Amino acid sequence: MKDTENHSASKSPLPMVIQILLPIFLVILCAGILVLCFIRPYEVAKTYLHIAFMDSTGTSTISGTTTAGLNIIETDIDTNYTGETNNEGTVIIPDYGTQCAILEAESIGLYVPVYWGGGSELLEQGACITPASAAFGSTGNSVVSGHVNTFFHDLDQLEVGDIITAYTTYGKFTYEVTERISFASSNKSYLKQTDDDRLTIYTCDMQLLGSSSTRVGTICTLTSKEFYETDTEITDNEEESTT
Amino acid sequence: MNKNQNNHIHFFPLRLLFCLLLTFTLLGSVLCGTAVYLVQSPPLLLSQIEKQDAAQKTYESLSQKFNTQYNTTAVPPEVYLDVITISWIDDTMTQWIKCAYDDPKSSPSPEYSALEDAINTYFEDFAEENNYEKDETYVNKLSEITENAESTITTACDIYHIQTMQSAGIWNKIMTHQTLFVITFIVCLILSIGLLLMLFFLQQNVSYWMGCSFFASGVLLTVPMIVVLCTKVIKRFVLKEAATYAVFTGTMTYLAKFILICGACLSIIGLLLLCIGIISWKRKSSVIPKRNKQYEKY
Repeated sequence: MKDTENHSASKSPLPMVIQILLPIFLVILCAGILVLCFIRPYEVAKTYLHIAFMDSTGTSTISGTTTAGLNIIETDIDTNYTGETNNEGTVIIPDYGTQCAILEAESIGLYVPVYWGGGSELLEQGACITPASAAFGSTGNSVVSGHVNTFFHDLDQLEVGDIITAYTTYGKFTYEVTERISFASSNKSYLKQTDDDRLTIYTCDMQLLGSSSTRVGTICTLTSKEFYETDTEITDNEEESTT
Repeated sequence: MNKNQNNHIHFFPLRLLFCLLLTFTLLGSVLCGTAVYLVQSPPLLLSQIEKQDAAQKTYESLSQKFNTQYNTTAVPPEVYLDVITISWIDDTMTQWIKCAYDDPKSSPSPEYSALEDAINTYFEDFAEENNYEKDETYVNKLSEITENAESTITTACDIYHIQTMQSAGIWNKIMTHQTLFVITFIVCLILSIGLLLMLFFLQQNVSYWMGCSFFASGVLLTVPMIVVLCTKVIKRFVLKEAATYAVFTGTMTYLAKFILICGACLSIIGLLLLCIGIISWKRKSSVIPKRNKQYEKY
């Protein structure tokens, strides 16, 4: 009788399946508790995390030089497109550092690649469209800046009524200069979003000595939108295939 | 149902609860330990500066900036770069971090006398060559250029953007939380030991229950870090300055690997303890019936 008692006492109290599944259950239980606990902090931090880790291009090497996360991509943009166009179309937001347009102003001989982003590395390559502003073809203020000593040397020679064209991979957008502006570098009022479709181009005021704190440029109003039909279709297909 | 089985059924929820709590205290110990390691002293940040060759990268970045500024300032980059050496940048970076750790509210004052002399000399030479009168504009421009250069270099040497964090009050907050991190770490360790002792007091197959907690906490540390490292989310960090990008991503990668290793160790220990626990249960249940059979023969 005593032996039988000993036997049942020493026998494993948990079946083998439970012995194996219990640690896994514990992991799932703890993970669930942690997920529940972190929902609220994640909601608070989500925006900041998204901004801090938004660059999907990663580190790359261009012409043998590592640019530490900045991937400058040249885009083949057709400025002589002759196909079908449409007033409505899809605007493509490129990756940071990607060439998104070519800006042309025949009156001053301006022909400059425009990159999506900012900073000295991109400004060495061409003009930059601020990612916080509207992309070409979308509603709002598209803000483009460039160096006065290189690409925007003659920007101050633009006159009211001059035509500026932005060629992109998805369309051609024509603007007319409506106002010449000059403002302090600390004044951000011209760079804010607007309800109308406009293009703001600015550069530094040329100074002999010392960096200039004055910015000069123009405000241009959108006069025509021509979205390329074929390119949009191709892009849609690409997006579909990607998704 | 005998007394022991009854005990086991009664104590099973208690053991499970202790296991659950032990998992969280182990997680807390590792995470708070990592935070203490990061916040308590600057060696990790300093080692990343050396490992990522941050001084060289900063020098190149400054060279590029001054080259770009040449177009608007008309001051050749050599004026600055001849007096700002890589070792000077390295020293300033080190001094900056040590100073921020010693006193969270203070920032160092780098030695700029050589730079100021170089800019002064260039301006004087320029004025002499061009017969430019040293008027108010000259003095203002000289002052503006000097301030701009010092500000550019200071910002570049503040590799971890400590000044930005100080002005936003984040750095001060992190440093004042040092004690809190240490206390939490110690509390987690004490609780872990306490819970282990509780499991010992409940006797039955301690290694199995310990194994459950070690394994769970190990997995919960390892899996997220594997996801972070495999998806290369750290490489998507948006700061584009080469040196800052390198040290920030380097530090984050190091910490992620550190937590991954801790998690892997806990998982392995947990698995071993689980195996020992399961085997000991199995052996006991197979040995006793044999003995009983032997007794029955006699």
